[in-house]
Amino acid sequence: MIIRSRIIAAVLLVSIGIFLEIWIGDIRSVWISCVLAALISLSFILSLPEILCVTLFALFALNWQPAISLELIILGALPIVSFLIRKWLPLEPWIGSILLSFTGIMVLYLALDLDFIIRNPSLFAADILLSLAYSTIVFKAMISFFPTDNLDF
Amino acid sequence: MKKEFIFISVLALIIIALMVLKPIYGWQLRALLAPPPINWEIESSARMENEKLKAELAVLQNVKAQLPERPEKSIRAIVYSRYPLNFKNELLVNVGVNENVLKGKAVMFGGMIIGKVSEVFEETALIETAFDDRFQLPVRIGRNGVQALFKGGSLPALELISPTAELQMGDIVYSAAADFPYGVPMGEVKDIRISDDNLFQTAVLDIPYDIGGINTVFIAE
Repeated sequence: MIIRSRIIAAVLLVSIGIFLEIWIGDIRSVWISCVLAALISLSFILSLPEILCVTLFALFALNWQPAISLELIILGALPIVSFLIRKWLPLEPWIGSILLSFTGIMVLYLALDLDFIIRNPSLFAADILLSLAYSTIVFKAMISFFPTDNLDF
Repeated sequence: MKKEFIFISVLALIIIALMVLKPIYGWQLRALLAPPPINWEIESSARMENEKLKAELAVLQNVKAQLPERPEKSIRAIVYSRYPLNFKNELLVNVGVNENVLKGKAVMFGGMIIGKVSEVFEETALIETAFDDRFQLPVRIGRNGVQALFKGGSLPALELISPTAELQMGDIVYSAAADFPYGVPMGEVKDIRISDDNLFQTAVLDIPYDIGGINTVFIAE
């Protein structure tokens, strides 16, 4: 039952992230990586099948074309990689989640368009700040309702 | 534990099946989460109409002889979704190969060019908008028909303008590219300055619409 509630909560938090990303993107034409940051945070709390499921849901909602794209592959792979390496991080989980969220966003920019950071440093900074803020909210919300002691990894 | 695993696996399989077979449900989900469309009739149709008339006037006054016939036919398309990251500025529309949409064709909104078709699928097509860094288009400016290169981006700009060309703020910018209808407005000249290498003039373009609020576009046939 805990697992089912946890996955529903995770889907809701990712949906809020999608909503924020699309809302801000449509109005300000600035796309914040809320969803990626939330998924990486969730990878510290969910089990592998759960994080896979939530990531697929996020990709389903974010996909903008009827073809596979490098962007979606990276967005899908980063939370899984985060899940695999989180246990080896010698840090408090919440610090680790912020660090990996930051690294994930950096990897996204490095892989897709490094020049964007040079051309639009303020947009990049805004993306990092807002995404990490949402990542922290997601982590704190999930950990307060679903302590990791109850988790079956 | 086994039940939970089956539950999650079934959920994952359903999502994968939807992604592969019916991506349209994902776009509909996005549309539900997106802000409501802007009422362009009220917001900026007057300004866009003004720019259209200015472009027509500029074309009629100076480059009439060079005018090829302007294509009247266009395909109406509904915007399904937008590229969700900062690296591109693309729209997905609900027409594709089935409706004879061709790659490279001009895409218009409110009588203005807003981009071009960058990829065509069976039932959908991707539009590279004027706010995409990859978008470039030869254009002309104002009554004198000054040549320039439109370069897309978050701040669309006009480049390679002759240093001797006379430009004014508010001059209309209109299309002058092969495969594009001639004389369709794209915006107005805003800030004019000398390029960093001192060889050309450059200008920022003022575009009177918000790409995020567009729901219907026309694709030139």
